[in-house]
Amino acid sequence: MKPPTGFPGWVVANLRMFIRDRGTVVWAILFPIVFMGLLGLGFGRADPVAFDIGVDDEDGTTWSHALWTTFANESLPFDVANFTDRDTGVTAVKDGTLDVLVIVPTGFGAFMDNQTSPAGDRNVTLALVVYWGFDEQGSGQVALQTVQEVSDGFFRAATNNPPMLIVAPQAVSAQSLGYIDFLAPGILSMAIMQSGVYGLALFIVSSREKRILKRLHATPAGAAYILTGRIVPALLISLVQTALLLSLAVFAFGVHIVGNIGILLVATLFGAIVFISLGFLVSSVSKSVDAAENLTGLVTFPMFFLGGVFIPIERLPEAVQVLAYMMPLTYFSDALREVMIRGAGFAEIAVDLGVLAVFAAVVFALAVKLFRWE
Amino acid sequence: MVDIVTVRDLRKSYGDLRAVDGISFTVKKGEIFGLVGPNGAGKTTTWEILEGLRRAESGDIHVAGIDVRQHRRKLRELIGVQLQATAMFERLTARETLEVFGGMYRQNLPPDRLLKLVNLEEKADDWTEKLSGGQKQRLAVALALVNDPEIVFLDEPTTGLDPQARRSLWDVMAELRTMGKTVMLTTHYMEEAERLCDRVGVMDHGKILALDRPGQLIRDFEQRDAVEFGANGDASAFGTLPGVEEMNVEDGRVTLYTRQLEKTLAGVFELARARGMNVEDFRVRNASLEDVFLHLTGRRIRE
Repeated sequence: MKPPTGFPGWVVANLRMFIRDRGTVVWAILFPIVFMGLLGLGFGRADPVAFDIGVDDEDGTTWSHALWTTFANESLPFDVANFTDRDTGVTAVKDGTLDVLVIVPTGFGAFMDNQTSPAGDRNVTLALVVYWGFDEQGSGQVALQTVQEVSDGFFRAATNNPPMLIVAPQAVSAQSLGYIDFLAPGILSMAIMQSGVYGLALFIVSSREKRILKRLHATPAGAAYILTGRIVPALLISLVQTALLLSLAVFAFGVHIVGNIGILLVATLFGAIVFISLGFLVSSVSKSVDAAENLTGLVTFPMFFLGGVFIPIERLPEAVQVLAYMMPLTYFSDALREVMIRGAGFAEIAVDLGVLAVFAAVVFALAVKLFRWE
Repeated sequence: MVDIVTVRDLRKSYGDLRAVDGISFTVKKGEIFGLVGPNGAGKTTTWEILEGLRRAESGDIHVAGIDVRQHRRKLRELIGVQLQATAMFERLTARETLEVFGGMYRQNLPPDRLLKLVNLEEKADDWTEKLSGGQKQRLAVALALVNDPEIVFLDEPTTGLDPQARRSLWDVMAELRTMGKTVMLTTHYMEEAERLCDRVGVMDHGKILALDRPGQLIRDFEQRDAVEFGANGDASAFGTLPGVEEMNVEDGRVTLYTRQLEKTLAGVFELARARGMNVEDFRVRNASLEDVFLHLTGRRIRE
C-alpha cells in the first residue's frame, strides 16, 4: 500500500479557501494596510509635542536633584528619563529614543553652593555637557536650545545672578524616529495577531458546527494532518502580510528598517505560531461560531490597545503595564520593533522570543487536549 | 457469501438513554442492508460505531474483517462514509472536494469518474455552496466512494430531498449494487427501503424489532390488505367490524388491516350509513413496509 499523498493538495485547498473568502482578504490584508495608511498620514513625521530628554546625574547632590526636578516640571515640554551611565544615554540619543542627554557633572553641587553663597566667586563657569541628536528632523537642536533656556532659568532663580552654567553641546548623529517608525512594527504585529487568531478559530469552529470536522474524522487522516494543513497556509498568509505591510512602511512612509530582514521574518513566524495556537485554543473551547467570534474579540481587543501597538508600554499606568506584560502581543510587538528600529539581533530579542515560544507551547498543548471533532 | 459485517450484542448509552440496546446482525458482501426507524431509534449511533467514530459500550463488532474497537485507522481506509446532515467546504469546487478527500486515503478513484457516477459532471467546477440539496447529497455519496471502499455507509442520504432528487439518488445506489459494493443504508422512507434493500432491520428505541427481506417482512405480517379512508366522528366502531385484525386512526384517517377484505368492506359502508358518517378518499391496497413498521412500533414515521 502506498502512503496517502494528498497533504500538499490539502494545503493548497486551504490556501484556496483563504483566498476565496473575502473576509480573510479584507481583514488580513486590506484592514492593516488601510490602518497603517491612515495613521501614517495622520501622524507621519509631525513635530514632536514633547522632547525626550535624558539626565545622567553624576553629581548626586540636592542641587543636581533640583536641576533634574526642574527639567521634569510638567509645564515643560520634556519627557525626562534617568540614566545612570553616560554610554547607555548616548546610545539612546543615537537610536533616536532621546532627543538630548544632559550630563550633570560631579562638582555641580559644590559649584552651586559657591554661586549661592555671598562670598562666592562670580567669575567661574560650569559646563553642562549635552549630547544632542543630529538628524534631519532637527528636534535635537530645538531640544538643545530649550535645555539652555531652562538651565539659565534655573540658575537665575537660585542665585539672582546672570547665568554661569554653560551648555556644551556634543552632536551625535542620530536616527530620526517618528511615530510611523514606532507604529509600523506595531501594526504588523497586530495584523499577524488578527489573521492568526481569526483564521484558525473560525475555520475549526465553523467546520465543527457544519460537521465537516466529523466527516474529516471519518477519513484515515488524523488531527495532525488536518490541522497542519490549515496552519501552513495561515503561516504563508502571515508572511505575505508581513511583506506587504513592510513594503508599504518602507516605500510609502520612508520607514528605515535597521535590523536584518531574516531575523525579522523569524520573529514574525514566532508571533504567527503564538496567535495561530491561540486561535486553536479559542476554537477548542468555543461551542459555536458566535461564541468563537466573541471570544476572539475578547482575547484580541485588550491586546490591540495594550500590547504596544499604538502606545509604548512605558507610557501606560503601572497597574496596566502588569496586565500588558501578560499579553503575548506585548512581546511580539517589542521584538519586531527592536529589530526594525534598533537593529536588534537574536541575542537582544531572545527574551521576547523565549516568552513567545513558551506561550505557544502551553497554549497549543492545552488546545490539543481540549480539541473535539464534534 | 461471506459475512462482511458482524455485530453481536452491541450496546451504547448516553446517560440514562439506551441509544442502542443490544442489537445483533450480519451483512453479506454485496448486500444492500437497511435500517429503518424514526429519529432517535439508534440508527445513526449504530452506523457511527461501525464506522469507528464512536466507541461501543459493549459488543463484538467486525467490519471488513477488522475489529472496530482495535484498528480504527485501518478500518477507515476500507469503508466509505456519508454522514447525516454533513456540509461541505463551501468555497471548494465539487472536484476539489473529491481531490482533497481522495488525498487522505492510500487509494482513491479519479474525481471525474466519481462525478460521472453521481451525475454531477456539469457541476464539477462549481463551489459546493452553489449546489442544490440533492446535488450536495450526491456529492456526499461520491465522497463516500472516493477511496473505492468495500463497504459504503449511507446515513439517511435522501432525507429532506424532493421526490425527484430522491429518485436520482436511488439510481446512484442501484449503480452501487451493480458495482458489487456492500451498502449500509439508513432511511425513514419505507418505500426507499422496500425498493433498494436486500434486507431491512426495523429499529425503534435502540432495538431491532424485525430483520428480513422487505417482501418477507410483509408476508410475515400476513394481514395482507389495508383499507384506508377518512371519516368524520367517532371511528372506534370500525375496529370491531368483521375481519378487522388491527386498526389505526391518525388525523381522522382510519386504516383497517384485514384478511377478509369483502366482509370488512361491506361492514365499513353499512356502519357509515347507519351512523350517518361520510367516508372520503377511500382506498384499498396491499400492506406495505410502512404497515409493518406501524404494526411493530405502534406509530408512523413522520418526516
